[in-house]
Amino acid sequence: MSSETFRVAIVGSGPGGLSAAAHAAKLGVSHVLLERADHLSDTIYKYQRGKFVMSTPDILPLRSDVTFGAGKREGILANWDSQIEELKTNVRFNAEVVAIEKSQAIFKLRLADGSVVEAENVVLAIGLQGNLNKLSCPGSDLPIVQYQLDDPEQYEAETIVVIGAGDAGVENAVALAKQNSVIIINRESEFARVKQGNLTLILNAIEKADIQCYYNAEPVRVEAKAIILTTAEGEARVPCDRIIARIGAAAPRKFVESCGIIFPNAERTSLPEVSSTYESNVPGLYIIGALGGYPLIKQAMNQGFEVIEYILGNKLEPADEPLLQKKFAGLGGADVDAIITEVRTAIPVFGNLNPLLLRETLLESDVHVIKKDGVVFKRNDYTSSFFTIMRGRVDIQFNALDPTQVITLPTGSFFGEMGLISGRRRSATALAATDCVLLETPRRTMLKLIKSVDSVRRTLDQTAIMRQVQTHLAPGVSVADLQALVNTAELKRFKPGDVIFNQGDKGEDMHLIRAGSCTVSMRVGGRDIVLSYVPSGNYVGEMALLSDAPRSATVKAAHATETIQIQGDAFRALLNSQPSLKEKVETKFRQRIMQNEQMQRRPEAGGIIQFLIEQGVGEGTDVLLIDESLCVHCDNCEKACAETHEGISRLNREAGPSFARIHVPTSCRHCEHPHCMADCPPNAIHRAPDGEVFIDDSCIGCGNCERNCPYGVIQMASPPDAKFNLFSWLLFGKGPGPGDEMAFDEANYANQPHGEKQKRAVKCDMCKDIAGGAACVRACPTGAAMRVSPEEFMSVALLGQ
Amino acid sequence: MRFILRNIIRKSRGGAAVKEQIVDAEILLAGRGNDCGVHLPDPRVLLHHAEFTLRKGELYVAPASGADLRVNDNITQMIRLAKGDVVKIGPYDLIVEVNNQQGEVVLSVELVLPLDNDMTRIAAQSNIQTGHFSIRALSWGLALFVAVTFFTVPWVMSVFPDPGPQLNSQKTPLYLTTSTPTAFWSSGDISTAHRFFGEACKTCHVTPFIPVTDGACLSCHKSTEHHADPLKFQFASFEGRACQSCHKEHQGNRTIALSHQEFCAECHQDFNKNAPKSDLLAASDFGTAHPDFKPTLVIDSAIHQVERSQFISASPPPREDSSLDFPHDRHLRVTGVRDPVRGNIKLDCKNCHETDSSGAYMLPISFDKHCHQCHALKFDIYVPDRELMHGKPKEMFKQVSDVYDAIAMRGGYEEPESPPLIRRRPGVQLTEVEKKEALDWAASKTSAILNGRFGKGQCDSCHKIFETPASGGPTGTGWGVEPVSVANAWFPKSRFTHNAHRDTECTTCHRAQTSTTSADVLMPSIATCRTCHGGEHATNKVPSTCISCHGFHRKELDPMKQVVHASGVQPMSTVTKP
Amino acid sequence: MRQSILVHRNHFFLKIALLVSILAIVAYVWHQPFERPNGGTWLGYTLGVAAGGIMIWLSWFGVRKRQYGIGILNLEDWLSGHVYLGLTLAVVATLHAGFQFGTNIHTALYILMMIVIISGLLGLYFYIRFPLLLTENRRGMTTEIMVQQIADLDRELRQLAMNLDDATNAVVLKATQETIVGGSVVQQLRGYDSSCATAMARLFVERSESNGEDARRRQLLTRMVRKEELLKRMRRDVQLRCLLKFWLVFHVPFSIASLVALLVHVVTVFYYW
Repeated sequence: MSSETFRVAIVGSGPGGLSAAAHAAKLGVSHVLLERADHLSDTIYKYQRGKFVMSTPDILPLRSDVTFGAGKREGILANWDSQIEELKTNVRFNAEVVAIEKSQAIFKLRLADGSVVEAENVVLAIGLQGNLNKLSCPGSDLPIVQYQLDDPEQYEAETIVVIGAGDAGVENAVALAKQNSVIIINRESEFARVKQGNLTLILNAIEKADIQCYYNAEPVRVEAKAIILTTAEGEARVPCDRIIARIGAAAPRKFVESCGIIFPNAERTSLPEVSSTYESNVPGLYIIGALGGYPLIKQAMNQGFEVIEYILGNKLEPADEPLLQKKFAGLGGADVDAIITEVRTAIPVFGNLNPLLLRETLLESDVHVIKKDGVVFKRNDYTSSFFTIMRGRVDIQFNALDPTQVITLPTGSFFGEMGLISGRRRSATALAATDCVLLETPRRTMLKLIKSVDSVRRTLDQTAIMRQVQTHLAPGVSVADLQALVNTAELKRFKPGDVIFNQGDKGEDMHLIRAGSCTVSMRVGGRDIVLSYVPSGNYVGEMALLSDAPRSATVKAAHATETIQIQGDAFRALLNSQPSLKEKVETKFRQRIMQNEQMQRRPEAGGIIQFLIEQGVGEGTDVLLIDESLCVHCDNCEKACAETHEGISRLNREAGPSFARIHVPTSCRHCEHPHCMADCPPNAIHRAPDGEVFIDDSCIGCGNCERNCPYGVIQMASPPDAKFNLFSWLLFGKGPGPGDEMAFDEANYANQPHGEKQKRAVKCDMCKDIAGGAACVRACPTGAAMRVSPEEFMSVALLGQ
Repeated sequence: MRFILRNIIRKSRGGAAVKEQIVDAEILLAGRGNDCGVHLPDPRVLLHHAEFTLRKGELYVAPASGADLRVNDNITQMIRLAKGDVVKIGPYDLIVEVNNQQGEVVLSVELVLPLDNDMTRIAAQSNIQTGHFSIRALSWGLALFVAVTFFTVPWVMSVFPDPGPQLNSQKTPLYLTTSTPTAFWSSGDISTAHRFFGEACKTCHVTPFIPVTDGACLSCHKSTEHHADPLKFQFASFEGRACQSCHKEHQGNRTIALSHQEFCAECHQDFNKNAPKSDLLAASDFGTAHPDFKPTLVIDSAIHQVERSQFISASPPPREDSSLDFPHDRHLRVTGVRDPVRGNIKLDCKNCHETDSSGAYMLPISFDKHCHQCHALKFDIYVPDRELMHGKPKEMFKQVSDVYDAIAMRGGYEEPESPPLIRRRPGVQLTEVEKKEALDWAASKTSAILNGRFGKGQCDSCHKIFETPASGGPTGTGWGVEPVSVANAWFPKSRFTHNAHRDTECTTCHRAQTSTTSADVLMPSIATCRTCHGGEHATNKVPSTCISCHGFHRKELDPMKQVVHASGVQPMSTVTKP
Repeated sequence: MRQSILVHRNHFFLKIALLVSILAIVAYVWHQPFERPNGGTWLGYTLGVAAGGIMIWLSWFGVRKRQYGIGILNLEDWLSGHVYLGLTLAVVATLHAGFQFGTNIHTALYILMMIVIISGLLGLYFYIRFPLLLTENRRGMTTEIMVQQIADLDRELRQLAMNLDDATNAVVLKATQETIVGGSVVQQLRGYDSSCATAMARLFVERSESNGEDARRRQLLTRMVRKEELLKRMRRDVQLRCLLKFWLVFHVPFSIASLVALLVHVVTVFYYW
């Protein structure tokens, strides 16, 4: 059969691949679908049993001969199998392509078993998973070693060793621990690479001794029923029934390049460039799906459909065309391509996105047509979207005191990136200088772009640095004067607890904190005393510079922090050229010294800051604290919360640590960069204009946010059946009391809806919909409960009391 | 020989791990201890709990001393085991899987009753959730108790008809049983006067939710008089005021009359503003703001005209025209007075002035009781056993002429100056001529006596004599005695009790020793009273309020209110009938 | 760092309370009715209405406390006012009664009311004092953590006793199995457990003559002592928290009762007017 030459050979039976194959089959195009595994769509197949698969982006219509909708893994796979069956698609399983050569317009695909498939066109739909890494140590070929886990529940009462501290490894380990004794092997001393959610899972499991963990351990040798490790303590023999190695996968890049496809740069994340018809630089070789930069199932399936059309030489308007037309309706009905090209040319940030990515970005962005002097956003708004100017000009009022001071941004420039980066309130007000057209891109989309497209990040960073320096460090100093300083400045990222600089260090660089916050501490009498808490938008390190002495204090990142490091001499030069600025900086300098003096006299205040930082209050924007010297444990705060939020309390007073009479109950801190937002399939978590982080009704109850929240303030719950009625309860004790759920009622059980109710994620929304503010605080009889913003609360003045 | 132990470890969701372990031993110990072949690490197992032995291919199990061993759920001592037998050791089940003659024994060992999780158990058996008291139930209970005790019961009782006022009834006065539920509604002790029917709420509280009406009061106090003549002094008529507005009940066991001088002072402070026509003077405090007394006197004894004169302390002092001539000083002379019988005796006030039964006022002086002993009205030493009648001038003439006619008829009169005919030895018959002569003498003698010093003269010593044409007047001899007239109370609008003052000398208030004439009004001035008495709020003197001397309701006036029989209230007279 | 309800809003409610009380007292002294001062005079009625009003307002706290997310005033304001006006009530009501007492509903009401006020003062003391005691007693631990630690100790105890003689093992097992904290209200209030299995076990181990296993026994003892210490603290914690609610057992029922009494008082006073 190798003699036959197909019109299309599709490599990889993921969503993209099978959609393509299906379409080819539908159109009767001769084709073959080559799948390495013995089943379709291996990646999804390897999802854990029962995993809920999303169908984002919802707005995008599906265009494929294979149906697909959000649902459980099993359902989706079964559906695809049957449809592929019906369409008589020509699938070859266990056919791993090891090489693709092209000789006069015919591709030869060499398979692992040595056979060769010939085709005129090749569609690469292999995704990014690539080949799983194998254990390198002797004995790795023994039967007890396996590299994937299809169904954790098929093993019981075994001793299983999981190697690898990535998400896959952790997820497997946790799943297996339910009914096996699990040992996880971690090369490092901590689980650095995993998602926050998985991190909490695994650490809890280890703490509860459900899972045993070997840190800093490497496998040396595998035996019949054991594995030998090198650990800090020396060699350890771990008897076990099974070894599951999840040590990542080699990106398919090498293979792809071997096919003659060129990557734009050497960065790990970069992807091959493809034309708007998905054709790579090798004619006849097409790339779709994740490898082409489209990780979402629906996109891939659409591309599968489209690529076949393109191969047949048909024109086809992209699936999102109508949507984009709707979006641009406000711009006098110019046709989509024209506008896209306009965006490409007019807006440098988006200049070198590939057309499809750009389309997608525009799809998620909003187009605003604003009249002259219209307000785009105000200072202290709590929005974090990103604006680009497509037409017209925009004025930025950067000086709170004097609105006449403005920077005018020309067409093509962008603004609003500071809110995006720092996660704090807008630091300036933006007005339309002329009638203008703006693109508003949501935080999520922007972050994705910044991650995936270097060019975007770079341009963004440079301008951002300039602006941040201008706003926070040297207001009113012209761009020209700052250029020198900014050129030498560079971005630094710090993990929680990282030291930015140490007391006594030499060095006079300054750090302008642009995201996160840090603590300034000083070593006095052998112990560190926290002197102050520095939120983003402030700078540290100027003291050494001004007094050219070594660092007088240690500065640590309170949590994930980004700073702009400014060269000392560059800044000194700036100061000398800007007497007024010098004046300002020096006053601040004197204040700092005085403040430090005070704090050294009051170490307990520093202790409180330290404690609060440890509790992650530092990254919050609005935190509920309880003064234990007043709290009478009446739990009225919880009741108030429950009663003002369909019967479920969002806070747990009792839980949570205490220090020096301050109790940090388990309740949302409304973080600057909310961890819960990180991974919300339906994008149901938002930040309200006043800063409240809340979950809207589109929550699907997947529980990601619950896992991602490091403070455990999100819970999955369904509202109780019975509602609290004040008087019938007060007088006759009928129905549930305030804050407690209806007790199970045997009699009524029969006529109550059975089966568990759909649970949804619930968390504190700071009572944003209730006039008068947080119910918990207002319901506190003794005034023990307080909501504070860390900056204020951790200011010396307040702690002084 | 060898025992094969299958240690079964159940996992959640039914899975099980089996660890095989081979023990070679003659006697297989089962227990907690490390030395046991069948090591059962659970505190509920004894250190050495049981031992398995093989004898001629048969497997036996025996409990250690005091150990509880069950085989197939029967407590047993040494017993032979067959395949499939279940040996219970504490929480463990040991099942004989294989037991063949080759002396191979396979025992499966499983912990079937693991210790439950400590945390959950502590949580389960201890209760650290506070607030397990049904405040609601308590509240209901207490509330109900209050409602029943203090409302329902009294109310039910109040529905039964009140016995009404119980004047001189034989049964114990109800006020001695104030603990009866109806008393729970009483807002305070009932006044002394009303206590005896205190329990009969409805006597006064006639209709619920209507304040007590005058009718209720008047059902007993019909004739309570006005304070001032409503025609003359409209403002003092207390129109539209209820009895209640002055007489507040439930103020405790005391009088319910107002005694506050301020109450009177409201009108009497600057009285003449209120009553220009009245000649009463302003008064508001006995000690400091009270006018001197004005005695009410006889100013013309002939027609007994009485009127309020000027202040007692005025000079010349007010004088009373009593037509009597009684010098107190002479009678009270320290050297005493001469008594015809007892000789010289000393008199004091009590000899003549005696208090009435109430001890409040002095009885009137009577001649026979107080004067006669010394002042006997003899008129002829030759007729020693006869006296003039006091206070009856008209009969006096007949009385005296009778005496002398009789003498003339009988003779034997011893006065030397008289004619012999009169002085004749008695028993001698007289002729008609002699008779006429004798009677003429008798007539002349009579008028001589009456106009003489034992007649007219004697009366004159105390009384006023008036002349009339000869042989006229009451005596028929041309003179008469004026009637004595004395005011019976000099201060009619005030009350005074001599008894209360009995320990003070009369003379401290009444200056009698120096009074030469009975025209003197021997009453004290306010100054005298004030030596002991002050106003209501006096601290260093006897506090005396207005009503200590003056009454509010004045007997001489008409009833204050017409008696209205409020519905249901009957006058007491009818109630007390059995 | 935060102010207590007593100084809340810079003594706003204290000031009001003082003002009202002083007004009442001044009026009472100045007003001299011809009868004994009582509820029947115009001042009496005024004070009566005031007192009644205050009583009802105070009782409304029970409702307001459970109406969440409404109102301009925070619950803290309400409580602060509740405390101070509560004390004022004692003054106003006494003056309304004109110091007249007897065996009647009116005095009954007065007594009920005073019980409420006094129990309220007790509660106030608890509210002011106990939070600190609780905090100090807990040393930053939550109940869960304490239970957790006890549970751990129990496990260790059983382990240690495992190879000791059966008698010791038995008492230790008992000790670990019969750990009881709190319980009935009485037990909670008592704050200690006279028949604490752990204490018994400790005594037993202390007394029992050692046979070689000294080291183990010492470890046993140290753990049992630590466990007892934890239990002591937990029981204290429960006791304090129980007291924080228990005073309401008097405060609430009596306030309800006095509301009823108030009604009866008003009705009867005008029934026999």
